[in-house]
Amino acid sequence: MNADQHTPVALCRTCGQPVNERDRFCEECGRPDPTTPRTPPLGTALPHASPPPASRGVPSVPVPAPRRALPPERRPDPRTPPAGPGGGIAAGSACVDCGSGAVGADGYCEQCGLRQPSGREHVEAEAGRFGAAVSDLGLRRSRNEDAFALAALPAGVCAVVCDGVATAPGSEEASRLAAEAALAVLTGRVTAGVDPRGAMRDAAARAGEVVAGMPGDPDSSPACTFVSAVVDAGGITVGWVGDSRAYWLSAAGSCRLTTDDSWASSMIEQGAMSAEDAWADRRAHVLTAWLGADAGPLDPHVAAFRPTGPGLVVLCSDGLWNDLPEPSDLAAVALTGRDGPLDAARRLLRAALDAGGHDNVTVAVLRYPPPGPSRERGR
Amino acid sequence: MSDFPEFTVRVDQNPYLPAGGREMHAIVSVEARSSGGPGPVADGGRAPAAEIIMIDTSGSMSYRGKMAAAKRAARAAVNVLRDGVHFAVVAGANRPRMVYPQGERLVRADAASRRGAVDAVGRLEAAGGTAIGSWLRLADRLFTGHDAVAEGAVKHAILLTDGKNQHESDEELDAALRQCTGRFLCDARGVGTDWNVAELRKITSVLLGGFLDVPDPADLEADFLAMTRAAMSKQVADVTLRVWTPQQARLRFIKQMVPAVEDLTGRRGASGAQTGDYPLGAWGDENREYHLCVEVQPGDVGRQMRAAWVKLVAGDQVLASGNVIAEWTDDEARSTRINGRVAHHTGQSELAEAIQQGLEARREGDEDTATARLGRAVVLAREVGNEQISGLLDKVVDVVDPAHGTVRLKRDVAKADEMSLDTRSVRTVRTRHGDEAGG
Repeated sequence: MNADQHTPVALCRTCGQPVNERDRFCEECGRPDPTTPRTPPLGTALPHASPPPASRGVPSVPVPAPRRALPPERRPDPRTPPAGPGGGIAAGSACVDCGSGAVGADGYCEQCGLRQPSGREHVEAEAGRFGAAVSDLGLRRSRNEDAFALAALPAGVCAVVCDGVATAPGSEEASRLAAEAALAVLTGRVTAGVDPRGAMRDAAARAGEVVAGMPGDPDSSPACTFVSAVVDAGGITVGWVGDSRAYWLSAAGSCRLTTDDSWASSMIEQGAMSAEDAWADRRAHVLTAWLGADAGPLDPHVAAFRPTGPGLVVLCSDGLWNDLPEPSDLAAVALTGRDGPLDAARRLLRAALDAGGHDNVTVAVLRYPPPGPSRERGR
Repeated sequence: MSDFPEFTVRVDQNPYLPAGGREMHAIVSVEARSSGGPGPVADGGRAPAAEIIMIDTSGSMSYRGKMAAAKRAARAAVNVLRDGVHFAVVAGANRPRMVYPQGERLVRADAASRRGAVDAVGRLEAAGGTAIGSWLRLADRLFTGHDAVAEGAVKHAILLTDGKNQHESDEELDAALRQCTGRFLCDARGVGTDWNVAELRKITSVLLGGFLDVPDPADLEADFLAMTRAAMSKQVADVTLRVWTPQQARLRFIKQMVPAVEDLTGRRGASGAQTGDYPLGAWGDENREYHLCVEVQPGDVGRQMRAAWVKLVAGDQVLASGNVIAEWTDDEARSTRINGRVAHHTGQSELAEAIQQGLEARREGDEDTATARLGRAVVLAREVGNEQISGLLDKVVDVVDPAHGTVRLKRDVAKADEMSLDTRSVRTVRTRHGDEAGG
């Protein structure tokens, strides 16, 4: 399947603003020849004109500890896990398998040796009616190295999805810490009235610092990808590093909002390979940018849009888009019901599991425009 | 106490087991590097050391220039002892005799004592028989007397012999080995062709050393120099491999694979409810590799288990550790993958076995078994890329079809070639860390 050719929004290579493919200059930053050849943008995504006025009346609702499908006794508080990569049951608590052993700091029972459930096998959370997220182990992996963080804003919602790099030990922890750090920056800055694009850059930078500061061995530092979104009445702002994606899904048309920092994308962008060949290559998913000590200087992409009609913003790890790369496929699953974002997120997860569930799956679904008493446009 | 080198542990394995799978294999690679990086280490960085050089002076040593070569080798070894190392030179025959110093003690190496030892070695004469157990007991007494001087010292002995242990019983040798186990390390060299490979293998195996054949006495000097230098470069005297296994799991075996095959399974000393300790002797800048196999209780598909937890321990200090993981999967592509390094070392193990069994059968006149086992060895040596062994096998068998292991036993095999093949059967070749091509 060819995912890349369906990137409908051309982004300015300097500032990340959407531009028309034939534009000779970026209207935002003035860069000449701002685009690489891409399919033309859809009419649904328009440049974000200005930061939205902070709307009163919608309180900031930090999301409580994610709800879990596992028995609650397995993991008393997922937000205060031990430092070890196990991340799950607190060190010293009793083993859920043999009952008699104590669980070590790295999550293995000191007696029977079985690794304890991390509490991240399946995680769900909602931010009021604004959005929801689901993260799941999938069917083939033994640990969930994806993480998300989600919070309501005074006039909307923000979310972060991070995907730990499986080959680097400690990445399970990296994704969690990155998501939490980024969310804290986003909620703080946006609530204080900072432009979401600036807040997004700060959030990515902070997440990058946190991951880069994690202990790791020199050959494989903990690492993760990053995608985040702020959705408020003024529009949608997304920021990303790596190959976790953001999509815009609406009845009027759907599109991908991000471009992957991956080998395949870069081959296609350079014109070195056809999209088909690039995606068929076993290096296709090799990241060209990530968060981690070995990542080099961090240069997050940030882009903003103001859709003309209602729809959903979906943030996801590659565990979802690998199986459902086309915006139209995702839209067909997500937009079917008149139910809330959590149900849409669960349906998307189900679709990924039905397609094989080869990897961890994390999906955040955010409503645009955010429902609320003071919103400017209804649906 | 000296500064320990920096130890790192690396585990290579395919962690995936099929549903119901129980047997997990892993290669544990241990690397020790002195903090100053590779290259010569300042004396201050080394552990205190004691060295005993035991030279066979039985009557047979007077033939083929062996005694003269042994003297040159012993003198060379004495001359590379660094200042401050405590040492002695012992002559072995029916009974052992102090060559230097006079009296049962070790002496501190300095210019004067090295000169004294060199002079004393020059006066050695060959006479009498071979009773290696009694030599080892003397070495043990000397080291024991030294223990009060330097705690944690690397205690190393070099044993040179040219003959079988004819002048004491096997029981006497075994009793001496039991007494010396864990007391000091011993490397051995067999010169000429009248010594017994199995005997030296047993002695050095128990005493955590290596042994080699030196068919040409002229090579002894270089060999002694290398052994002594290696002993002098050790930085930590007693390192232990501590292996934790889950309850209801069983460590089926643990073998050293690099630099030579050595089954450590029987050396287990209990150190806790679920841990066993395997003594590894002294370490300097070096790499060794271990193959372990653990049998665990199967877990559900999707579950993960720590199947073994290995730690390098010196005293009460953990120098490095590594995990052997088992994970059950219903993905057959994963569970059937073979880790390249596990396969390589399994092949090397089998190679050593095939050679030893083949040579044993040949000595006993069982030509069919000898042909089959040595043929198998030809195939395995090619598979694991052990060219030295391939070359040695060529001197013992005519290879008809190397791919299928069709061989003919040679009629006239030089005794030295057979002994060389037997001795070196356990010497393995290393795989590069990148060579992990699984199936």
